[in-house]
Amino acid sequence: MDIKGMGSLPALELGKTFNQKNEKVQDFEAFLNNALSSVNKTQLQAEQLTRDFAVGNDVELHQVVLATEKAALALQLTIQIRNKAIEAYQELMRMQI
Amino acid sequence: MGLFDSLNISASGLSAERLRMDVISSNIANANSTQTVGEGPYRRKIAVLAPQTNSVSFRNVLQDSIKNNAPYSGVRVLGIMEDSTPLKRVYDPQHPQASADGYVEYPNVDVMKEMVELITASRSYEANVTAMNSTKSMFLKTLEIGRS
Amino acid sequence: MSMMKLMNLLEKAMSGSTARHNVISNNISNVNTPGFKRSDVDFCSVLDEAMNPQLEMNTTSALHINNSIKSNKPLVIQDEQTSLRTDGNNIDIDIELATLAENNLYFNSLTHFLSSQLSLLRQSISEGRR
Repeated sequence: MDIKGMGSLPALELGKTFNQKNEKVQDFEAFLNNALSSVNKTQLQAEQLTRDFAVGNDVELHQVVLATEKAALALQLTIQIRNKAIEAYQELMRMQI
Repeated sequence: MGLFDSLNISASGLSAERLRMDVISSNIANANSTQTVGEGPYRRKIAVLAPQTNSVSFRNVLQDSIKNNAPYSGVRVLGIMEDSTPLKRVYDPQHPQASADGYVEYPNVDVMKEMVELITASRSYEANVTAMNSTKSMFLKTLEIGRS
Repeated sequence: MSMMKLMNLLEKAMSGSTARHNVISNNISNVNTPGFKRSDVDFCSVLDEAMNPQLEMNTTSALHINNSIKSNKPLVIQDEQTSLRTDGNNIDIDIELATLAENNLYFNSLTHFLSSQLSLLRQSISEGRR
């Protein structure tokens, strides 16, 4: 039997897969951040339009109504997704090893 | 702002039509007035209307919103002027205000014509009221978008 | 997402309908001013643009042709036809009132459709529960 030394193990490739997984985690983190910031942006936009309308600037009423509705729906969707994610996590934690 | 402008436009129409009705009522009431405070008999009055354009106010220039504003914003009354058609002359030497040759000058008001103008003004007033109600209903409908 | 596209289209249609309402109100208030010609609003071009957005051609030199004529604002057209009245006014109040009613119904239908789109989204978010 030919016993190989430690040096011939493909250690570098192992490192590569580890880095790849790290990148995937980072991608998801970036994606999550982008999604949350766009929800925030819709909220801020709706707030700005409401403020403009209240002050008397040149904003149409239906624009304000639609922007606030869209922001509310976006927030609701985010909350539901958060609920589902927490549910999934709890389900996982309940799994008996 | 979109629909608020429409309310102002309709309001200007309402006040213009009401002024026209006042003038017409004054004409009808004075159809036989042979003497006024000044000299001569009553002369038929006409209200002169013109479309109102957006004034270049400081606020508009500041907000740079004048190019978004429409150039129209209703109607305004330029003034009340006297009709220059000739007065009616009636031969009546017994009248205390008869002139040297026996003619009395009566106002140049044709009551029939004034009644027709009154009906027109009243109909225009109602049309402006309809426009205002329509604006209000559009506004309220918009506010109901998210409900239910 | 085509639902967002539909909602944007409806929003633009509402803006156009509001502009048309303002112009018709102005026509009605000026029914007795001499020399006034009626105007109307044509916002079909704006809606076409919203449905099929034109691609802008990139230019790298001032000599290149680009189709930058974007009709984003509703057009106000003025009807200069000769009038039947002696004071030069060509507004027919019955036509204006009928157009006002038509535009009002159009606007109300738009709000109704927008409302139903939003409630679809809301229902799918809350999975039918309240």
